[in-house]
Amino acid sequence: MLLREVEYARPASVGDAVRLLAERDGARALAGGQTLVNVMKARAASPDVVVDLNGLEELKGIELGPDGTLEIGAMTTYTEIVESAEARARPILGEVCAQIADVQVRNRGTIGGNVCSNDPTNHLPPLVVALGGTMTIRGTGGERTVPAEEFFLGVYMTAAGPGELLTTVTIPAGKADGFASLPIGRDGTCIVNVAASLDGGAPRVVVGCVDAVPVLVRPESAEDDAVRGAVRAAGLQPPDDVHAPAEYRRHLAEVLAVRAVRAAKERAS
Amino acid sequence: MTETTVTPERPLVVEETETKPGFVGQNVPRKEDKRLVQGQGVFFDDVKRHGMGYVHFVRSPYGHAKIRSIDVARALEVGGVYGTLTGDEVAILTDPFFELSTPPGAHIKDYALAVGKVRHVGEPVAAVVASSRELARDASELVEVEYEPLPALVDGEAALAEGAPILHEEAGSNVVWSGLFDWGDFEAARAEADHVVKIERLHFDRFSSTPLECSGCLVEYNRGTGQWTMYCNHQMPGVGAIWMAPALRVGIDKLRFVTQDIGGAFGNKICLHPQFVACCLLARKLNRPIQWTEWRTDQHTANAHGNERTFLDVEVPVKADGTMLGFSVRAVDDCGAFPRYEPLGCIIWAQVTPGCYRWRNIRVDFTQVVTNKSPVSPNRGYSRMQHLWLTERIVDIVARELGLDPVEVRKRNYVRTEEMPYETPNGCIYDSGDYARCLDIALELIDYDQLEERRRDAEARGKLLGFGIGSTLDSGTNNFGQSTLLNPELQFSGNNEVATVKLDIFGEIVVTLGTVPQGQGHETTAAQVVADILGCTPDDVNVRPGHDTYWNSHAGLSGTYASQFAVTGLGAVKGATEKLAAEMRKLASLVLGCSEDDIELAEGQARMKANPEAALPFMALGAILNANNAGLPTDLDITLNARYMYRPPFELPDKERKYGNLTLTYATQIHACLIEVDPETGGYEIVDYAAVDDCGKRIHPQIVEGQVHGATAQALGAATHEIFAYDEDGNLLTPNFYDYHVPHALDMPPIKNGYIESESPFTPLGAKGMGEGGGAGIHAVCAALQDALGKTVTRSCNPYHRVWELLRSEDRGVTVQAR
Repeated sequence: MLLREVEYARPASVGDAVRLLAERDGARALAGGQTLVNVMKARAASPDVVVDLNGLEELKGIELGPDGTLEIGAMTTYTEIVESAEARARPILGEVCAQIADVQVRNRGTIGGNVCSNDPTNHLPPLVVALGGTMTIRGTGGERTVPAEEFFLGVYMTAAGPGELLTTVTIPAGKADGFASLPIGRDGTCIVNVAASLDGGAPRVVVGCVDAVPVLVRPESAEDDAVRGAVRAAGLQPPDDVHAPAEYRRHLAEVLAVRAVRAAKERAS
Repeated sequence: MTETTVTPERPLVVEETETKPGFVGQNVPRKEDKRLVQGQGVFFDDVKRHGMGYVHFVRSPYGHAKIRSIDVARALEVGGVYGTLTGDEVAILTDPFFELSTPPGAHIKDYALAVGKVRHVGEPVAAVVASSRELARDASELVEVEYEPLPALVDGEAALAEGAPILHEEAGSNVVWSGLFDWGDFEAARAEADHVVKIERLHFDRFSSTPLECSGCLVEYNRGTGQWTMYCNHQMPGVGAIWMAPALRVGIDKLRFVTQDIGGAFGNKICLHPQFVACCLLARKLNRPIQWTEWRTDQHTANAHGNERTFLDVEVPVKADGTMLGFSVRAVDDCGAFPRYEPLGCIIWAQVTPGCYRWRNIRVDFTQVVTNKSPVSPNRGYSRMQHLWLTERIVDIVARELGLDPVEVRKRNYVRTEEMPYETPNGCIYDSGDYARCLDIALELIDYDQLEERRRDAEARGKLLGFGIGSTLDSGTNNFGQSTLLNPELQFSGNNEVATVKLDIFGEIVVTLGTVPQGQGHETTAAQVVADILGCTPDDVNVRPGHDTYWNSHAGLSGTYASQFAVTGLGAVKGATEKLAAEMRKLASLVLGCSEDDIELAEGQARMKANPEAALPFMALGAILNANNAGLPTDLDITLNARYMYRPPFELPDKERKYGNLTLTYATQIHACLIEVDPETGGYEIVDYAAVDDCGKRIHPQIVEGQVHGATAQALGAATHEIFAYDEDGNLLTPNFYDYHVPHALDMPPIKNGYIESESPFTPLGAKGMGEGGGAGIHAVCAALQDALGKTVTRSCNPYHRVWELLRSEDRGVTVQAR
């Protein structure tokens, strides 16, 4: 096959999906497929069974609570977030989703897929950490929530473990957010990206593309020097690859952190 | 995309050969478009045959390794697997491909599959054929290959070092070819100069085009006749057959190439002979049609890269007024693991030895080496692009060192329009052109007079503005005799192309080309030329799509490559049509009882000039000869099926002096751009771009503009992000579109197109080949970066991190010696 031989399941409920994922060690959840299918095509990963979540309406949609909290179903696509009136309650969400890859990818790719694959160059892991998001995870034993900053464990590894499924991403109310990135070309992979939020006290600055997980930095203030100093003090050890030497990524982290915080300040005022 | 077309007030070279207005020169609707936009094109992968087997190549995961053993037994056990092929079989059944080089390159042994050793990641070592493409891929994972890894060589200069690993033991050296080119008197020029500018090192990075359609073929073997038919996308079948037939130990007539639509080629589809030979062997061995469609990653890792070239110890003698007298350089060209089309790249650059400039004293010490990387093949702009990058870097680096204006220094050194045709120091003849005028148009298009204002505006936004020019020539219609400057034993010279034009029973005009179009609109432009000669419309002209050896409408050097269709292809069409027209007039004169001179062809008829009522529609002519010919004179020798071979007027070059006319035409590209650099990140954007082209008479201006857009996109990709980078073990780090960023529509700046038409005095239609361009966008972006950063740019590709590094670097590697 184009892919290695693989079983395919299309559960009718989240309960069934979780059961399937728990039953089989080699099971993988299939969301928009924008990462998983490509990885399978390259034969870099070969799950025994893919559990297709695309039929599960309960995982889709965005709800805006009276306090401004957003409940985003894991299977909500980037395009749906970009176009959602509710999601505008936290404008940065739509702005960042509109920057992800190209139209085809945005129509298929989902918020849940983006955070669960946790490719270090993805846009949304640093963003949900900066926004102080909460991740709801369902397993056969029930449901639990994990703060976004504890969700990301390693490249392609998150707190949603084997037999578990991320169902909802909860984003609290707020608006003083910023995002800055340097992609390769207009819609290519990010070399470094940084999300920042000034809501809820001291700035939350989260750097992507520099480690296996998004790196949260807490500068004392939103002043440029404080931000730059805090990122420097974080002692980042970014990867050295064909797109960027480690030193360059370290430098970009500082520059883009300052820019993300400036954007957040602009939005706050 | 916004476009502005600037029309010059008057054509700069007026040499009208046709006075009546015709279809040539007009944007008639493209004949190809209907089928392509409706999804009705036929690409090789659309061709299916009963019982065909799909081939999957098992490829080397090592850059350099000995093959200890290959075991296909487990793959053969899989149901649906039809068979396999390994290097051991290939070594018995075929001879190594013919090498063009003199020793040491001549001793290299290149086979369809690796024999005994692998020399680059992705090199095919075995092939598995099965009932489906997917099954073949699955089964190929069961082929067990035992390797003994060897140290890999991934740097051209390191290939020359003492003790470097040797790729091809039989050659005894990593050098393929080396030679000294020395024209004029460089020592005298140095003595005459007021300054000598020295540049330590410039490096043209490895990249390539990435056609949307990968390579492939469907091969049938006819056991009864011993003949292979390849439905394929090979873009140079004539030369492909010259490689394949001796390797397969058969005559050239045993190989039939058939193409129709091709999804881009760019030179990447010239060196498909190794895989095609493997497919031919499998078709014969397994007695079934064999289908091969290359995977995208294989296209990146193991098909065809562009030549990577390092320029060392450049010296440029300059007069006080900015006149440059020439240059000397040591060039090291890295052709990857096998030469294949090489070492032709060691001479092709010499078509444009002095670039656009009046430089008379040039010395180039050229060495080509093999490394453990993908083999190269003639990628769009082949070898000249690398060299023209050098000439443009020389101009801008000298300008920067001596404080000269990049516009003025170009105008001072450009070959002048009144000097055309201009003979270069190595005997090439620049046929026509006006570089300074093209530059003026480009500057006007980007509002050059407001440059300083825009610089200040950018600065106010925290950006650095840079301005750059790329002046290049697209030398078209090769004199294959240049190959003898590399290897005096080679028996190639001149060039040719064939077309046949016939008038059929119902008056159909049918054109058959020898070329292998890949999107250049040959059907359309051929019909324009035919229509003007026969007095009909392009709609009346049926041009067969693609190429088929069985049409017998090709010659040994047929194909679509090296910017030449408008000259060779249309030259053949013109010649054949004129022959047909003469026969039509002759037949009409017999029927109408007048002399041939009394007959004209117009409005789809052959008629008497003096009495247009006395007319025979084309249908009548076609029917009389083909189906109703009783009573015609027995000595009437016409067929209404004219075959013509166009041969450009070339002489053999002088092998001793490495001197002679290497190409017939020189189209001009003068591009100018403005970029804005973010000094904090090194990120940059092209904010204004002008492309002024002069390819002589434009047969179809819109097709010309399309080619300019494509060549510009290729160049901008090469300038910004496209690098085939390797790690020290020979792994390609950018093997797919995740890591190899080709410009998308959103990455492209608006292109402002301008043109002039300096007709070629040497070609049948005054046209020049122009499809390749000369990489002008690369040179313009490098110059603009240098201007913005105030640092010498020494690499052809400058992704953001290099720009940032440049900003922080000490300017090194350039010295000026005053005399």
